[in-house]
Amino acid sequence: MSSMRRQYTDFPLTSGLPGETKQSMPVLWVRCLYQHQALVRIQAVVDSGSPYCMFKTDIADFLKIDLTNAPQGSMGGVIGGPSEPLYFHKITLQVENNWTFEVMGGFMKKLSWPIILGRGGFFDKFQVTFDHSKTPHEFEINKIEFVN
Amino acid sequence: MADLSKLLENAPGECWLALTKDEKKIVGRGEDIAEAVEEAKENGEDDPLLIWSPKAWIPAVYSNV
Repeated sequence: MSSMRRQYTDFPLTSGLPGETKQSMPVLWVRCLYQHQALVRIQAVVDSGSPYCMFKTDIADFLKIDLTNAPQGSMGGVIGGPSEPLYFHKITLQVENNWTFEVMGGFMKKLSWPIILGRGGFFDKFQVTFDHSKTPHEFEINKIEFVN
Repeated sequence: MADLSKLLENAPGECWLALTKDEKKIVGRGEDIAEAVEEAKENGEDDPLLIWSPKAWIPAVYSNV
């Protein structure tokens, strides 16, 4: 399959716009693979605002990915505050039991979503269209076929 | 579309939750992934879906919260 269309997933909203009790997110189920280990599927949000694909360090811990000597960076958010260290390591992803590919992921302890599929690693492999013109919202992913 | 809002609104926070494959039921929780997966297996779900349940479900920019 070279494309798929999905509806957004609804999550609770405890403090948002008055009267809103749900937040809809473009979420995919992603399995992480490293060496000969595979993790169960984890929720991943498709987020063009993130420069990288990012992961909670819990995922590295489970897969025994050693981040001790991994290249380190830092990441801040739109809300002020101290930046958090980010450790880069290659990891293989299987998206929706369909596409399998390797990314250089950024691992961070204080990440509020388990996996973020960002510009580097995901948006450079897939053309993504977010469609908020209908309810529920939908998004479509098309695998980019590179021609040499 | 999956609507997980009802299922998750009263679920424990700051932990991993394991759901059944059909996303209808919580079958495991844990401080780490292994604990949540193990509990799901004990409850008969061998290949659960994992969600991180935050302390509060607030709108967020996800990199630094």
